[in-house]
Amino acid sequence: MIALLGLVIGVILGLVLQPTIPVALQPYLPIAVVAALDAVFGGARAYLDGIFNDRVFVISFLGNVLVAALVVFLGDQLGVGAQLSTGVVVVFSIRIFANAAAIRRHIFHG
Amino acid sequence: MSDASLGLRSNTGRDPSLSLLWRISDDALDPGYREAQVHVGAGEQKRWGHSVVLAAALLVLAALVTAAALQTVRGAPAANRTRDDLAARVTDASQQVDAARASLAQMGAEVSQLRVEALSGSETDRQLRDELLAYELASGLVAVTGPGVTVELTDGPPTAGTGDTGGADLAKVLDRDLQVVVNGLFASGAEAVSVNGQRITALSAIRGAGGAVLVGYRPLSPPYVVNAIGSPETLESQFAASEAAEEMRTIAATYGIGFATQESDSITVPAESDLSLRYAEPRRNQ
Repeated sequence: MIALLGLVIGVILGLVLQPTIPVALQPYLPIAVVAALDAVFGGARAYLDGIFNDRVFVISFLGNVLVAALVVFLGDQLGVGAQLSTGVVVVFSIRIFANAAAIRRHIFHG
Repeated sequence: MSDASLGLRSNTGRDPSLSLLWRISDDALDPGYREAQVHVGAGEQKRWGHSVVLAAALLVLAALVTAAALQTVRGAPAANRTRDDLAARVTDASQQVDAARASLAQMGAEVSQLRVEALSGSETDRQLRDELLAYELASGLVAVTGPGVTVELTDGPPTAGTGDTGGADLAKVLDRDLQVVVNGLFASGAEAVSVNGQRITALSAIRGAGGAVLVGYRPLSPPYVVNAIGSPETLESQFAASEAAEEMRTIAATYGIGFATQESDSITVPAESDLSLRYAEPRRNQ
């Protein structure tokens, strides 16, 4: 319940404060969001598998976001930022789809 | 469904060269969840602090997604605004050009009128005035009216071009066609010619740029109406018998372009307002 509250407050905070992302960080925002989505899908699947662990979720969420942003940042410094972004998005997309498939099986096959 | 059975089933017929992709999708669930399950066991109670941390993480997540969404939503209208703004400025500027052109034409007419009035005193003045008028008429500085013909060129129904034309629409009036018609009219004795209200003078060029036909630097759009003033007896018949008309009839029959000629008792051909010479100077020591 308190988690749901956090979610709602987060949305409200985002809408009310309308945080301006610094220009230097803007390229990493979409990547961070994709990484965060991966953590969310992983957490949802773990929840349905009955092995959800909040600590693992928080760590995987923060770790995903930071590592994804770092990888893309490094790529930018090396001149392959666009390619690495694609790589990161591909990897996370595959994971999201795999987790979504598992969630779907849980929901429709009990 | 256990992941072991999933793994067994999908292992058969797996392409080993895709092992990296398989590993990504097999490890889709963070391994940490299972390990935590093994280490912690079922005994541990949920603690208050954990929930708060989870809530904080979800708060950050929600704020992140909202911020990203807002960023995108705010970014799109900005790009649109820029384009609309540029389009508005282009329209505005071309309207200003049109207004300036109109006022230039009006002032030119006034100047001619005043000049004619000023040059009506002595015999030499009148001679000078007639000479000036003749030059103005010939060069296209004044609007003229008289009998003549109207040639209308229209694009045919769109056709899918064949391979050797690169898929271009062949039933379109080209700058070449207009050149042929205008030259044919002059060759048949036309004294003044305009295309879509643009006077053709010694300094006019009819050319194509992209898909558009330009007279001078002004783009024209179909249908193209060529007005020519000339002898009511000979202009129409000579043009009809000319090579230019023959060529256009062939093109019209082949590609479906509209080509129609009509005689008229009174045609007005507008003046070209901007006929300034930048490099050529009159020779004085005759």
